[in-house]
Amino acid sequence: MTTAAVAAKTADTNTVQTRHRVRQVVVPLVTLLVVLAAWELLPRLGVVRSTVLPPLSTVLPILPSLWVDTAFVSSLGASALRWSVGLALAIVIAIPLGIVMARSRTIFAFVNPLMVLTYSVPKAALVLIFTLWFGVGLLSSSLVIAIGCGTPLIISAYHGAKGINTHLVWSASALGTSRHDVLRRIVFPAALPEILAGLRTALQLSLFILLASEFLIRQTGIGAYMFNNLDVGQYPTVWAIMLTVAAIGVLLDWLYVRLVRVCVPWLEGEV
Amino acid sequence: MSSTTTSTVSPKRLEGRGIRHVFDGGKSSVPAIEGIDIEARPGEFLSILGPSGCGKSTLLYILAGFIAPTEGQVLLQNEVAGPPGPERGIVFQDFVLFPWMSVVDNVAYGLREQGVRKAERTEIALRYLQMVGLESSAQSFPKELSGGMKQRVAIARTLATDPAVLLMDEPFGALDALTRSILQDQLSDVWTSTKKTVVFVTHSVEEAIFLSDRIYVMSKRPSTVREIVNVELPRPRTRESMLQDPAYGSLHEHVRGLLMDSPGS
Repeated sequence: MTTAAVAAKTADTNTVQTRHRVRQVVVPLVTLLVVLAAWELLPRLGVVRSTVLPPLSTVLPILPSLWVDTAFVSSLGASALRWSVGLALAIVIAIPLGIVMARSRTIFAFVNPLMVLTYSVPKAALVLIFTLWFGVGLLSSSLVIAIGCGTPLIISAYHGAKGINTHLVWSASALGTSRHDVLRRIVFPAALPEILAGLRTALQLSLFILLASEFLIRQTGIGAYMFNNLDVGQYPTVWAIMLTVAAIGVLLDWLYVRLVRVCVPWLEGEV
Repeated sequence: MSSTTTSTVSPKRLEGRGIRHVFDGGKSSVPAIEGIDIEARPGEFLSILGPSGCGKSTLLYILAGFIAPTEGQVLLQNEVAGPPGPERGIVFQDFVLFPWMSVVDNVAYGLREQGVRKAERTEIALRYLQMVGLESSAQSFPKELSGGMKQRVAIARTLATDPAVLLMDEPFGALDALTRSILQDQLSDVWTSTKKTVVFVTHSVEEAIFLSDRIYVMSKRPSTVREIVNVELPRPRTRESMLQDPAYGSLHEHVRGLLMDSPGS
């Protein structure tokens, strides 16, 4: 290849890369900017009342002051605790349960009615019942999150384990894996792609249930803190809290994608 | 193909006696296999040849111990063969490597199950990878390999545990023609150097003749043995010499005729 041809080829690759970068970075940024601009301009131009939607410029300055407010920080801590306990419970119980249900008809027949029952009950109703039973402490709020997130986890683990290629299990048993070890060594990793998809749903669902339960039982937590501010008409603060919660949601999803890419490098297709 | 890998297990006889299998489909039960006696002699390359859907894979799964036959029994060296295990190695048409393991870990998997220490099993696995010409892909994940490469890894994985019998279920059926002929040559070489008992399921007449000592030609469902054909072409065989051998032509004609519904037409 001549120097000119090489240069032309490099230029070609550069154009392709630039176009790629525009699509990946610039276009999404434009969308974000349009949303933020609308947030700022709509109340300023009087299209919506600023009590309903305070302009972005009045919300942003509140953000730093939130983090020095001990009431905010302790609320966030309380929410983080019940969220992590609830989600951890769901992961530890639901994933093995879903896998075992896929491999044993007896266990499936035993657990499935309970599943259908909890699936169709609105989780908000469970908040009230659990509070009645266990009080307003960590137990009841974590249980609601665990049951709410457990459902997509059980279903994804069940389908993931049910759908694996029989030849995969047969290959393992012909290589000397016992019936007992097959679950841990073969079925679990083979079902992992679907389980991870379920975990992503569970992550988003967990935040929703967390806030909903804290709106209902307004004792502690970020939801209660937010509602209290709404009651006293601190609308810019409410928006600032919402922005923070949204940012945490985005951050968790980003962390999830990073973790999957690092821990499960063998996964095919996109995360 | 190097011959650095020598088998320590002597090949064994695998027999199916009076095998009958009926798939239980609720109201309607479909007989798949209707009374088959099959014997793979120690060190023999045996093919099971039949039309699609004739139950030849089912027969192989019964011989492997994955499916319990409705009637009959499977004997390994004159003893009733129990559940599946490393004595009867299997290679499937759809490769089924463990996608979460690197290529070398896939090949070493069976050895790990036998409690072989890591350093030793990696060394053995690399030797088998070298045998199928894939030592440079040892650290790759299966998703990075082509179909033909995956099947070579699967064969290495099965051979690494040194099975007494090698069962193969249309292993080259999903590959393109060129890759298929390369892998047939490689398998022929592997068999020559390891002298394992091989039971090979295929629907290709050419493939069966090229590789086998004997061919069990099956009928359509419900499956029975139509004829046991001896392949007396000289070894080592090459594709070229085989195609020029007049005995090949008449053998091919004969076996093809058996596969048709009315022989001789």
